[in-house]
Amino acid sequence: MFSQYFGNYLLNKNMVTAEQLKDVLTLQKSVHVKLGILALNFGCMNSGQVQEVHQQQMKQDKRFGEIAIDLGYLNEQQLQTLLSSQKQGHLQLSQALIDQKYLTLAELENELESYKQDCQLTNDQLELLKQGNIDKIVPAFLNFEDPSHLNIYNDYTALLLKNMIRLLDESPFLKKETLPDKYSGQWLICQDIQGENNLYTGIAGDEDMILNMASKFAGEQFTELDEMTKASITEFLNVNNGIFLVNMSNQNIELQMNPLEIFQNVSIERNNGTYIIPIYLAQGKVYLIISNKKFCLE
Amino acid sequence: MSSKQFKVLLCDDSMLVRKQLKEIITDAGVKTIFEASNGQEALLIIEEHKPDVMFLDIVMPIMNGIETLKEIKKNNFKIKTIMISSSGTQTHLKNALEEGAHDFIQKPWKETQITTILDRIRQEGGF
Repeated sequence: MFSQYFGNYLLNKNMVTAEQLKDVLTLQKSVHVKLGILALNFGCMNSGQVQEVHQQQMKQDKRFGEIAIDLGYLNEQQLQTLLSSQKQGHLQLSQALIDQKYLTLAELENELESYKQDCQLTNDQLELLKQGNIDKIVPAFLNFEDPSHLNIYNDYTALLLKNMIRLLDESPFLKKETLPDKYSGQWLICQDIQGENNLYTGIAGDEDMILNMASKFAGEQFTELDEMTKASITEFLNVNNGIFLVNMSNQNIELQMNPLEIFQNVSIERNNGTYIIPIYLAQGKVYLIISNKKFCLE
Repeated sequence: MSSKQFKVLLCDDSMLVRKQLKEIITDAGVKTIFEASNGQEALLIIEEHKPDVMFLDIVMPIMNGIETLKEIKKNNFKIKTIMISSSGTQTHLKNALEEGAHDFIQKPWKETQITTILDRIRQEGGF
């Protein structure tokens, strides 16, 4: 998950090209993370110290960890922590970027720090992102102003992201950005959830994105937005909302879902209690629309 | 009795769900499969064709799954109903079982859940 967030950040800053990002995202699965990258990611060493250890390795028959301890850059406990973390997925992107020479160690160090600052993430939040803890990531990226629905919106958004991973095999991510005031687009699929807390949910996007999601959910390639494609995208929202109801029921909040609806060429405005949240997928973006009142469509 | 002699009704407003269920049930050897997109359509099919087993969604337009179960009970139709819904809350489960549902599967299902239930119904010999 961190790979998608950090990779997209590097792309937006023109630190890597789209081709390079695609390259490292593919490569990262087979990459062996070296201790230098680990030490940099954990903030135990800076890039200068890592480079110095690398230079020493050319002169001495010693491992990275041994030299770093000799030079006083790491202690034994830190080394053990780094070794046990060697298989963490998020580090493999960093290693792939270095291996492919798309970034230098110093650039990687700077970009990791800039990312944290630009996204206004605390060290703890950055760590949660690296661990892929979606429930905790959502509140760090989204700022719902409505306190009475804060938890329910955060929970719902996190569940949708998890189901995009689980049911669509997507790698969705959020951006730290000002949420749009309006959605005007080709398709809106929505479902009302009624009960103690009424919740109005929708997935919106252009035809290509809806086709893509529907195809992935059904496990077959749809080429036009016909009845079967509509059935697939609506069923995805239905399954997501069903799981949401079960989660809420486990917290003793009983809710009911209404039948799904699908609209073409609609506009919906953000207002008090209605949020339009871009979710970025490999092929583009879709929008989660979530509200505590019935959507006001134009 | 072999599952090939089952008559199965699929009642779900999603065309995709009906298609996917139909594929699984056909592969399991069932030859007679009816489809309905809401409870009202399902009741007409039950009355006319007397299917043995029904897979029934809960959230549907016109007549939902729980209302359909009540009508089946009221009319004393003999059909084993398996609820298949995305919303497997305790309340839905309780309501469905109280109204006579035979089993409950939460979406997204696994193919083996469907075939296991069909096998169990066949073994129970309730036809």
